[in-house]
Amino acid sequence: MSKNALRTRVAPTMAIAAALALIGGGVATAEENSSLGSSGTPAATPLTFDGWSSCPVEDLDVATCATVVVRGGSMKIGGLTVPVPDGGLKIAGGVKYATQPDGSFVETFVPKPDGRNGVYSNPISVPGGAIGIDTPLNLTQITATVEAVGLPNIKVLDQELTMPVRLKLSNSLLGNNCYLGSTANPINLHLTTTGNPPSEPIGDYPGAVFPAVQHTDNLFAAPAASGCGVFGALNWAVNLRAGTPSASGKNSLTTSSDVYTVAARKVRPPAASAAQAAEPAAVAQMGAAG
Amino acid sequence: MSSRTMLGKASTLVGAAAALTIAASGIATASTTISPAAATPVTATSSGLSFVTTGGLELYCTSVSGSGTTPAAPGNVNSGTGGININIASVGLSGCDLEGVPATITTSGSWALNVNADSGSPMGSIKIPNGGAHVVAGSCVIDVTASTAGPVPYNNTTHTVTANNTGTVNFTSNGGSASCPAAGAGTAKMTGALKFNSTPGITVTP
Repeated sequence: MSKNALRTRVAPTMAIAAALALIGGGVATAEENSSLGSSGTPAATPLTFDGWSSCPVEDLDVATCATVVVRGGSMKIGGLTVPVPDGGLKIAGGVKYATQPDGSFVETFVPKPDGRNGVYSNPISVPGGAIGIDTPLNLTQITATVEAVGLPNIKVLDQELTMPVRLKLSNSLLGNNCYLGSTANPINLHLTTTGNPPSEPIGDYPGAVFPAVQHTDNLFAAPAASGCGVFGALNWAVNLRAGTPSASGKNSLTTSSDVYTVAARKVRPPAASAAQAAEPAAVAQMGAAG
Repeated sequence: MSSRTMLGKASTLVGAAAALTIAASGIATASTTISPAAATPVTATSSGLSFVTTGGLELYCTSVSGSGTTPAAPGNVNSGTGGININIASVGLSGCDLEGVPATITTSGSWALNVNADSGSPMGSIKIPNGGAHVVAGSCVIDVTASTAGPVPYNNTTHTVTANNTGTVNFTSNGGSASCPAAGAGTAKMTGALKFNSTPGITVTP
């Protein structure tokens, strides 16, 4: 590489690093003033199993409730590796089954209607932040938050997880709309597992949990950044830092999760269950009347 | 040997002999009689039967039915222990799921409902032959192996056997999917009520 080329690459990076450091310093100061700790990062409460409250049991066609709590892992996008902390991500909802003429069935995920598509995420700190190295007081810190941009799909039996997501990158300089991936061009995660881990009773709740299920996806592609900085002026810096766009095969996500499952009828309120039980009788009566 | 020691030994022997007599008389009276004495067609149904594995996974069926015939005299009386088997010719389990995942169950072999009054109270057990049930939920396949689920109380008035997380149902799993019971052998406990038809209604007495 020529000196000129090197200078061309390094100079903007140093410039943006300096800018981020300055802005980051401002953030840190503000956060320190609001008693968020010397790191400038409020510790997010790890997401945990919620006792089936995230299952839309009011939908009487939901037959299984499922919750996946990610307990740890690692996400690599291009040149960026982000450790996934315990409780950093949770997918929860219900599953319907449509039985096919050949006896097989199609599974459809149904999230709680809270606008989250069944995906719950805590901001995850990006090691090295904006410039790739840790700075005192985490001045250039960036957090990444997983946001679902479409319905996930959970295959209960196979414990497979498919999620169209975008990663929201947060830092004062990056603004509130800085993303890797979008609704139109999401990061399509398809997490699969192998094997047949033993289950355990949950304890105070009905159902079973499969602890420490290992999921991987090595095939997803990561689109370029968008919306970073004013009018996307910092998209290039984020792409430089994250190595995006990053083609399939250059990215990976590995997670270790606790997978919870229960028949929905066991957690459905008695009134709804009674209505569901009465349904076939009502249908039979209608048939007889007809 | 002192007289006190001899007395002590003698009283121990007398006590043991008395205990044996009581125990023997208890055993001697253990018997079972099914009424009516004539061979009688019976059906047993359940509106909800569940099997929960030690791993917490539940196989649940909304409808269970089976039919058989009670043994005619003198087969309706067992003067010893072990009760009386009522062979069930056709067992059907429908509306089944494995934690909500649709499951189909096919049964085979000779199932039996064993009733006994050995303890003085009527009891019932479901005896499942080896390979008596084949469960398929997607790629998860479970085969029930030889099992006796029970004994659980039988009510002569309601003609109902009621299990509450009791018994041991043995099975093998192919571990064919991640949410399948772990591959290999496993056990499950049964919960539910199995009700015999009330007409004529069989009674089980010592």
